[in-house]
Amino acid sequence: MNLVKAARKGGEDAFLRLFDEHRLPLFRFAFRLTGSAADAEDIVQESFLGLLRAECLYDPRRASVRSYLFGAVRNQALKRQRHREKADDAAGSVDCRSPETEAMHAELEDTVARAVMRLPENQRAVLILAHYEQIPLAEIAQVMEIEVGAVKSRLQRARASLKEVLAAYAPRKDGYERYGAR
Amino acid sequence: MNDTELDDMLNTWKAPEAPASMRAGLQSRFPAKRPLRLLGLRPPWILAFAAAAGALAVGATLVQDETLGSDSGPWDAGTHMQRTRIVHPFLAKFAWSNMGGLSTGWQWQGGKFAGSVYMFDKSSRVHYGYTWNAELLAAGQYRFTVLPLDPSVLREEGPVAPLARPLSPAIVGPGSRFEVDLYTSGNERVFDRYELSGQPVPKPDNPDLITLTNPQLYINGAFALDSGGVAEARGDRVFVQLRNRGEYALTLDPRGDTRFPLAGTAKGNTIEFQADGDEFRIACTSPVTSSGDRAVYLYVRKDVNLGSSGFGGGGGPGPVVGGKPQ
Repeated sequence: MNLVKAARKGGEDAFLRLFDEHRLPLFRFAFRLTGSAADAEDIVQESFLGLLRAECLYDPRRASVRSYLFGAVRNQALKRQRHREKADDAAGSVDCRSPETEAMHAELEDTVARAVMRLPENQRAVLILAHYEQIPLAEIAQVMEIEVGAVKSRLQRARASLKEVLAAYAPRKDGYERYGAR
Repeated sequence: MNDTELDDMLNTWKAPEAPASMRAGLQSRFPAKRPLRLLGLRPPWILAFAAAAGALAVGATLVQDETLGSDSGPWDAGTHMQRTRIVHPFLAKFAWSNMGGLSTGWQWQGGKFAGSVYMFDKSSRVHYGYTWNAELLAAGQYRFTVLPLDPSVLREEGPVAPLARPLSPAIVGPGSRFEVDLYTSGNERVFDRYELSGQPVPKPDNPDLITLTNPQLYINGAFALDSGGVAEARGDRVFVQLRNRGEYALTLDPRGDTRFPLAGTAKGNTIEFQADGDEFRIACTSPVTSSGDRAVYLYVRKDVNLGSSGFGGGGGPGPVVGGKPQ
């Protein structure tokens, strides 16, 4: 039986199998959208629970459950972003590991995270799905509910912006080195 | 910068591992099955009858009283409070014992002790409880007031039932005995009995009693759960409820109940047992038995959907009931 159908009929095992199949990419996606592991955890849980609600719009004839869940995660992240009082500080709250021994790498990671977080949301979501999750453009179009052409153009704009912002951190022979003020 | 260089830079941003708690958290929020209705009986009664039948089948292992749990502690040096959660009639206890619950203990604020208690019906998601305060008027004299349950203490989403029975503020002190209702319907009643005395509440002389005083739980040596304000949880059975794992019922005498295999020992101020391949240790501040070192038997329930974690005690699986003496 379809896992979603079984879960909606009260099948906890089916529900958890569904979760196990999709939780990792969804968590990564939510984390990179919000910059917060705690928010990502809540968002992923809410997205799965949403599948069980009567008002859920998931239709297996229109999209895969993976596409639906990516879309749900994005909507939940947007909702949180709108309600966040200090939206401007969101980029500053990115959870980045920064062990001292990898200070330079950590600085770059932090910079990349901030740069991605500062992209417009509709570019950021496309970039994360395409680059980090390797989702085909056609499926991204389903997740975002836009045309494939729009996905391509958003992705191009996102990458162009990032190239510009991150140019100062471009790799040199001796590793990553910041050599110019932005 | 070319595309490859950009990709390399983007790849430096790693996402953390998805926390293991996410799955358990989701599982705990999986909607409970719809309550059954048979022969027009409300589910609590069906559960009560089913549990009663089960109790007979396993040899009447359950204590035949209406107590769900109790807690006690001093309000001041000469005023000691004991609170006992009671379900009437006895048969309804089995249904209520499967519900979640919470006590905030009590805190001294602005000249009064204050706290909240509730029980949570996982089927209807309704909270039954109240918020109370005891204002110090003079040595050993308090004005006790019952208020609607403060929603800020809730751990689960769901409505709060109105006060089961409004109570006028009353002057209480050592020797006072009064009751506060959490739920009333027909002749079914769940209430807390408060008893104040000038001396600490004597512990019942029962060699099979387990007493957890200021309990702290460690799993595989790592701290896992604090007392949550529970000064003391005691009973023939005591409980550790872990929101993402289940309920662990411990007893010194399973009385033939085969659901309770031997799992560990009670020694001094500590109970140690094994479950799920993990080493559990409950560390207390007083001896856990009055009868020396004892074997401990454990029944693990995974089928409960707990809204919160904590310790509890009583004659049967009980809610988290506790209080923190000041």
